Amino acid sequence: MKLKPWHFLASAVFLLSIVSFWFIFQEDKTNPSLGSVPFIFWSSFAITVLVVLATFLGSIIFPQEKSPKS
Amino acid sequence: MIGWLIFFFALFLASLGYASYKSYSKNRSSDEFMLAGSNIGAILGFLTFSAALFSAFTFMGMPDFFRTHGVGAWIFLGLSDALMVFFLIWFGYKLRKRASEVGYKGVAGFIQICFQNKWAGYLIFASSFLFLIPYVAIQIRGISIFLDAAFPNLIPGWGWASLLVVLMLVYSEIGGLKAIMYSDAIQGLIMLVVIWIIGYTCLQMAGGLEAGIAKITENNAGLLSLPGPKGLFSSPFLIASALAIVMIPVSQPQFTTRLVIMKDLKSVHKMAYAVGIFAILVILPTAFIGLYGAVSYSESSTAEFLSAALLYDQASPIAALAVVGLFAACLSTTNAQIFALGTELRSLLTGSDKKIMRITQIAIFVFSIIVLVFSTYMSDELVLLARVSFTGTSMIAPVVLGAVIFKNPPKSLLVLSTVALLYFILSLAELVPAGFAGLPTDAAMYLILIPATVLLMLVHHFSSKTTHEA
Repeated sequence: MKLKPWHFLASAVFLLSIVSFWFIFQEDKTNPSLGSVPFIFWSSFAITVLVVLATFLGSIIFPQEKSPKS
Repeated sequence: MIGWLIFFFALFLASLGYASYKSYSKNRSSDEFMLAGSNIGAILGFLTFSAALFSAFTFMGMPDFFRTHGVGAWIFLGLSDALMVFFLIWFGYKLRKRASEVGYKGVAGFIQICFQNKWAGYLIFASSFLFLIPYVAIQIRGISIFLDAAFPNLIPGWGWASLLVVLMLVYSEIGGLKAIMYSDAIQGLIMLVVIWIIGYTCLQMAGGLEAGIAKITENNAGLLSLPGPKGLFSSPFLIASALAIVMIPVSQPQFTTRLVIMKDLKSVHKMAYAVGIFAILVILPTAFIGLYGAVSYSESSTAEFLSAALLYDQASPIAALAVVGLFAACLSTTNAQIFALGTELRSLLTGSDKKIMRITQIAIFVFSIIVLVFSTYMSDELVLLARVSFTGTSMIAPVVLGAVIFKNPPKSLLVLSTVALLYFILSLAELVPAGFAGLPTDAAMYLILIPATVLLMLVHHFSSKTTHEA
């Protein structure tokens, strides 16, 4: 099974989570806002969309063995 | 509104009745009854997973969370759910692979076989029982508060709760897990439609996004940043919540079982991103409802705000749909969890299929009664109670992860999870210190539990390698 692209994607999502929780989601930060939407809301929304897109990508690149079924 | 309510309820009950009828089979085995024949496709899988995941606490708790604690509520649930669905890609694969090797009747039985230790199964069942009962009770409590506020003096709160439990028992006992899944699909779709209609009307009533945010900036600017005006959304709180939510498919049996009984791995993966999209679609309108609440009901109680925003401020058909949607959301989570407890018990039982099925059906009835009683004695902090449930069940995650990763998982993981679970229960009872170094209990526990789990797994991995090489 070739897991390399999946490992790369999983590492990217892990890194994105670390960066988000430690550096992006700062207390009392409201700027830069997107229109009137405060920073924390639009940035966390955008990261959520990115992670869901990564899930979609993961569903394609994750190696599909002959399906194990209980 | 009563006319609309009767109309929508009749439609809803008719669809539930049809789902039970379609799922009923006279000579079914306990596997068909409890595991729906293990042949669930991506669409039904995604709808049942979503409906079991998003419930009364999403519908009611999240708008209230946005209203009182602000924009960090998106990170608390939206981002955490997205991380959880990403994790499903890998976990779904590992779990199904292992289940195909050793067999699967429920998480407790599965763990018992993997660890070759009967106490491992009891640990899983105890954790599920201790933390799913309050979680189910939260749902019932939530809907009772809402309906009681919406229709004062019609029937008492416990009457609404009993109606919900009886309804759930009838269709789940007739149709088994398949009926629950079909009803979940119906309930999930109702919830999505209703929450968007209400979210949109609330956004209009708040004067639109820009005007609403401008009013909040004026009145309570703390809602627009972390950690929120009451300081709830600190980094440790958000990280601990994310970890607890990511571990839901590992530690909450109703989700674990849904991953195993799907048709194939491709369906699990399709289901994962579909749940992610559904999460974004369901949580976004709760932010609009919360925004409206922060603008118009900033000083009101939770019950006053919810009954106004979801009912009194809405047109009659929408308010009636909201009641049915809430009822449906609550029902889908409740039945998934109570049925999961039955599945867990069944996986530990031995004897003839007929006898096991009878005991399981009686157990589901008993669990429902316990939940009903419990729901009348709990507080109204719905979201925070739900979080305690997520955290509590996540204490057994090392055991489940060990079982899916290793052929012969280390017994030390059992000791670790048992100690963690006991400590968490004792800290809830305030018998031991809760948290340390300024961290809340769950964040502090994860700080120990995660490195300890990784360490034990690494030691086991390398020691078994050495043994094989020798």
